[in-house]
Amino acid sequence: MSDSAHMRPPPGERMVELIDLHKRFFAPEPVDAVQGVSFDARAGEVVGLLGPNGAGKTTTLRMLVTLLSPDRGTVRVAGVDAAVDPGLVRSRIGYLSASTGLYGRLSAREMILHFARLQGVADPKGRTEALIARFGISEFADQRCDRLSTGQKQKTSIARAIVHDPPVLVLDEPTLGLDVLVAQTLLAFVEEARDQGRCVVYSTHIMSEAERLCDRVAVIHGGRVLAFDTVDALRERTGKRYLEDVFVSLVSAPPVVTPDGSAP
Amino acid sequence: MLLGFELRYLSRDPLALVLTLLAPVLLYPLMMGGFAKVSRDDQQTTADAELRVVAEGETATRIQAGAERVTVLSEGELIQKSDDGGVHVIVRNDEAGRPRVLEYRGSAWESREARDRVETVLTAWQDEARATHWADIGMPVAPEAVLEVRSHDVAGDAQRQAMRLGQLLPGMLVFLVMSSGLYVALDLFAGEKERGTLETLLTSRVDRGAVLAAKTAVVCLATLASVGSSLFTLWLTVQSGLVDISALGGVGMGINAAVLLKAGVLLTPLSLVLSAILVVGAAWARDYRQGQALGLPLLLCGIAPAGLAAVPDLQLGAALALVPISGISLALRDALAGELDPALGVLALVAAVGHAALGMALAGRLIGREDVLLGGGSARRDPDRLGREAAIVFLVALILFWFFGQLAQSRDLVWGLAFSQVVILGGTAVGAVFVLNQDLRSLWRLRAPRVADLGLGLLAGIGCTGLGDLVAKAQAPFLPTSSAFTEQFAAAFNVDLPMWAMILVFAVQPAIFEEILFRGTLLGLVRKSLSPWAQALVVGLLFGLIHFSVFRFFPTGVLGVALTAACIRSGSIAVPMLMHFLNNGILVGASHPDLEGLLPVEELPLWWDIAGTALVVGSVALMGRRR
Repeated sequence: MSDSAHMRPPPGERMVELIDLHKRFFAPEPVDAVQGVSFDARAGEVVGLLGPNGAGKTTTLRMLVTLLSPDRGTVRVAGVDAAVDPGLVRSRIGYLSASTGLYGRLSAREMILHFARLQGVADPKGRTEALIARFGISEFADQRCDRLSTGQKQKTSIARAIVHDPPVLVLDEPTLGLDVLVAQTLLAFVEEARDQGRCVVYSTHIMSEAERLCDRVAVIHGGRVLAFDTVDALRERTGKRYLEDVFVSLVSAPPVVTPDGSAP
Repeated sequence: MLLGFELRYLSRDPLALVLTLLAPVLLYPLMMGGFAKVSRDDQQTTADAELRVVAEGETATRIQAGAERVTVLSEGELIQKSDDGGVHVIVRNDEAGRPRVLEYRGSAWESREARDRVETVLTAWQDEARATHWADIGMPVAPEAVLEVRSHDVAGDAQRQAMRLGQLLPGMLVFLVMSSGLYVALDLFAGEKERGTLETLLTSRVDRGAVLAAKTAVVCLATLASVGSSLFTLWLTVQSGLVDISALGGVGMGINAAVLLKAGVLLTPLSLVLSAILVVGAAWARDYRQGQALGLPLLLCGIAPAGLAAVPDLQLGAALALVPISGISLALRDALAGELDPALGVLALVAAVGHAALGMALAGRLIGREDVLLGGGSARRDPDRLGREAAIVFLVALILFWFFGQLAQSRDLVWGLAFSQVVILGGTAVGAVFVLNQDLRSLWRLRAPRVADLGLGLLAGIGCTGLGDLVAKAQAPFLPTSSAFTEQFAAAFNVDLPMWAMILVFAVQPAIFEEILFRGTLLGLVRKSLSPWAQALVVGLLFGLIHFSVFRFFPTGVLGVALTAACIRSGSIAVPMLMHFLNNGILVGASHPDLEGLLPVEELPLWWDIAGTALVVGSVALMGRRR
């Protein structure tokens, strides 16, 4: 069964815009976690945020989903400024990360239904049952979430994240800690989401995932975007064949900044 | 919808239900049963105990004949036994064989009981001897017929037991309420952070404020449910007869539905205050484990002030009624004993509602911060905000002043005051500037004031005498000044010094050194952390605190607020210095014998107070305005 596409924008439409984002933490010394990050993502594409641990990926995505407010810069989702209407921005995003969890004392069905109601889905029960059928959750739908296997939890989490049929998916290292088979399910879901015309922002430090999924990649390091382009264009620019080598080459080289301040 | 969900979700946690609802059901019958048994044993033991007294001669004969259940031993018998461990009282006679000293052990109830029994006999003997003496000199009058005073406790067993129970119950209730609330708060905040469900929830379209409000409301409801369960179980235990509480006398009559309803009304705002403490602690923790580590300090925050109710002879007064948690605990104790003054009860209740509102507002503000919500709250802070450093500087000054300043002043008031002001306050103010590497001129607002502001400062300084006195008069009905304090305060100014020296010690010195600490260093340190209003309030009240007197706290605190506001508005420390000097100088000068009668500082007229207050408010409001 495929998702309903009542909110789906036309392919190629700019769905996510991050403009000159800055975020400073004070833990324990002041750290500029994100320094002028800018990139965009369109409907029907997967944009990868590629960087090592501590590069600023999670902080950037947390600003995108309005969990954090940027010290400076603009976040726009489907044309809505996050500083103006964060609730509307969140209603257009499905967010899944390694740290988003499930309510242990709810069953998988109750979990999806609860979020369908929270997100204001018109027919929460119908939508819940549709997602249960689509992700093969039926056999464990009435089991408590704290008794589910990792794979079952992941399926429930995906269903929860897209219960309101969002046009934008933000996935922050979603395969972290998953075994290969469960990770494959998730990667297949991302590809399917792109094919359905959703805009997907996908952060990872696993090069093979980025190579397989991403139409464009923003290489982020030290809170800055070092490069933002298609994988092929990055290969061409660095003269490297493998994305891992491309990444090392970009991280080692001094940042190239275009006249307007953004990365080329 | 969120609140309903959180409540339904909580109801699926058996441990939460046990702690919130069942623990009181199990605990109160046990507690009341145990309390009754202790009382019963106490009463029986006291009544039945056979006590041993050492006495000689006629004293021994009379005690043996007059006191009940007393065995009288002679000192010889005691020596033969080589053991005085079982002796409860020793009566020492003088050379004439008359009883003079009664030795007993105040730490042992048997000894106290033996003293009472022996004293009854000795008092009767004393009366008899006095009557014989009067008869011998030709005046046959029985002393007891002229004047006999016997003390009689009119409280009765029921009230005494209720008071004892009241001393125990507030601490117990606070412990139960906080235990259940702590579990729920940790689960809803620290636990959800750890499990990732809080992040999941916050990325839904629901407003963040609504999510946090629902969670806070659930903690409040859990503590209220615990209160309800506690009071209901208490009532059921006392009224049902399930537990034999006959030894508590008429205490069952004391704990009736009306009293418990009163207790419920008192406990409702208290449970909200406790909830606010728990929510802040639980939200501050990064994860469940850190939350558990915070558990004991959080519990102590509630139990320690509630424990004041167990302090014997501590009376609920207007000042104590305003103290968070303690005020309600004392009111609850008195309510259970049926001795609550309605006015004090209302005052404690109103204060607790205020504390609850303040606690909830602070909790809401804190848990809404993204660093607290999405990580540990302790690590992330702006290095330009020096509020924490200001608190440390104040505490250093307070501790030094408390120990060394007071010691120095007790030896020699004038030199001690000079030491306290110059070395302690001035030294702390200057030391902090250098330790924290701050720019002195900017931190202390060392700028020449505008002439207009200086003129307004002059007027406000004169008005300050009235403002302080007006606040003192306003607080008097709630916090009557003790005569000891009045005498002590008057004695402090009764120093044999010429006028110029008095002005130097009591007006110039404070105007310089108190100002550089409070309006200089402390105000400078908090200016990036607080709004101007909050700066004036906080620095002003800290100024009140350092005067180390519950009676002077509000008058000096309000003056402190005015001085701080003047400093902020004028942009120069010189203005509050001038005001401070004038206020102290006028009061000291007018109380000096050379100027006696110029201004009745002992009893300033009300018109002076009102005019002075208006002058302060108006002058400070006009400061800093450009034409």
